[in-house]
Amino acid sequence: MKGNRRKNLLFSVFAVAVLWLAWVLAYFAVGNDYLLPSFSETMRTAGGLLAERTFWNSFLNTLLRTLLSFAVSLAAGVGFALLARLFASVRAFFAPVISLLRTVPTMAFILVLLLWTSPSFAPIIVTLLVLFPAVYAMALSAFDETYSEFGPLVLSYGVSKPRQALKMYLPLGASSLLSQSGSVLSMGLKITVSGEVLSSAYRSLGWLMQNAKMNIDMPRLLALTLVTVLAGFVLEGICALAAKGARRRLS
Amino acid sequence: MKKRIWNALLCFVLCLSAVCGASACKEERADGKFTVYAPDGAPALALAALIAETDRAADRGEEPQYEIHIVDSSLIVSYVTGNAPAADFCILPLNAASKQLGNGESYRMIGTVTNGNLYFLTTGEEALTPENFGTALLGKTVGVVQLSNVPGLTLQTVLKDYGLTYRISDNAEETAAEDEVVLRAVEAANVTPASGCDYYLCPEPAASTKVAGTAASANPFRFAGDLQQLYDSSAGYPQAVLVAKSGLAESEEGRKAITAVAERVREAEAFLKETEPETLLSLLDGKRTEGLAPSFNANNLTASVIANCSIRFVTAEEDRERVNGFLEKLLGVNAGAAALVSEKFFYVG
Repeated sequence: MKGNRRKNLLFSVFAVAVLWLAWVLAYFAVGNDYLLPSFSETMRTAGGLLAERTFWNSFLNTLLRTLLSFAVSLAAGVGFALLARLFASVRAFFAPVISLLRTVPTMAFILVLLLWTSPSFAPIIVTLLVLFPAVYAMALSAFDETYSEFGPLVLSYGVSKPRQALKMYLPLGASSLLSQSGSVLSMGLKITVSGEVLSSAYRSLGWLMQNAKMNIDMPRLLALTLVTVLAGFVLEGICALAAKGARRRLS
Repeated sequence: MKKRIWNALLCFVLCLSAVCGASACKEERADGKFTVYAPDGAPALALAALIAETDRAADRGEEPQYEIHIVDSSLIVSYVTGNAPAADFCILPLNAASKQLGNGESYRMIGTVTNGNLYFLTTGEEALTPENFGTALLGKTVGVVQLSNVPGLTLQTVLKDYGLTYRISDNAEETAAEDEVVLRAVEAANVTPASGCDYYLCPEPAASTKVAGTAASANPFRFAGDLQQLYDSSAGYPQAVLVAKSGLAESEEGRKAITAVAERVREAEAFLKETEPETLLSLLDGKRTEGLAPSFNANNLTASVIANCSIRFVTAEEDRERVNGFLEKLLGVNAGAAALVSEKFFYVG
């Protein structure tokens, strides 16, 4: 077991090394700092970024927006998925709604959102509208799986729907939900940044990236991108740990 | 029974009259404030003197007469349209004003506020002047920010005026033949020396930002031409206009407000020259939509950028011919870009 874990870790480190090598090779192949700056310059810029107060303000604003969107998506997604699992009519109602939310392009409603809300709030709604269908689908799939294992049993014992929800679906689905929520959260971070660029949200990672691009400061742009990617990894890691903890408690 | 029906009908007619009377008086405002809207960027700078006066009044403890809003440029038209438009006064692009308000029924043009802020950038040697524009651009590609909007359309009118054949291409690899100019749409953020065009047409403050951003590089951008000068060497082109609700002209209070706002906007040209950029930024910050990233900041609001934004007020009456001429030229390039306006559109104070 320990040996396997060590081996997997080595492979992950190897993957990071391969990516770094690809960057270095691409830098020399392209030979144009405007298109791809060097790794060392980007790292220097990233170090400088971490010392800037504006960066931390912007990073925290973006992170808070992401977490808020994720929390609301999780609560609404799990809640409605539970209802859809328990009541066929709710499932039928949400089927076209979820399809619509999945396919409607962000640009179509960003202008309306900006009118009704504000540039700081619009990215939250944009992220919510993308994450909610994903969480709903994820949760419904987990609950359906739980039903396929235990459904006939609870039906034959006449367990009430509230009890099914609280004692079966939620605890048994928690592990699966938490293990997938990391990828949803990191996706949310990416969408929030895009939403911030579209809505020109002040003091946000999207705003910093847009400014870097406008100023043709490619090292800064890539440094910000790297920081965003790393933040995504950290969020995924936190969710993975939470999933592990949930599995331990249940077993 | 008949009496009851007549009473009900009479009540209905009286209520209807009251509603009509109330709506006719809708330009009377209970709080005495006039709302002023402008998109962030050069048009917002044109309100600097008005903002300063409003802030001074507030500091004296007086109730400010104007409620000023600096908003996202993509939303500006929403403040002058609909059943109950929010703006008493608004600065917006002329082409949008011509399409939405050109009949002069809901809003009327008080004057032109900005006269063009588009500049050519190049990493090459040859600058574009009125003398060489007809030849220097042949066989070249021009990356145009907002090609399908007024910047691109204005460039196309200028190319036509100089007798140049041009073609719009979305193929980044395509080069221009010797007897034509190729135009390519680019995003402002994507204008870099490596983007593959011979020239770029970029609005301020993005143009100055690009020049400053590449100054230390091996292949820096430099200013290579002034589209306003190429359009009309003395006056530029009417880019953004100040409009006011038509109903304001029907009351003494409204007409005084129109005169006062026009005067403050006229004063903006001198005010911007005399005032420190930090002060200007602070004035604008106080009126911008909460959370909206500012167009100007300490790095890009300089005296030269302000001068390049061509903020200069010309009354509607004085500018009628230039405005109509510009709209006709835009329509000659793209029939959907603008609309001809009625005489009623021009406010005569």
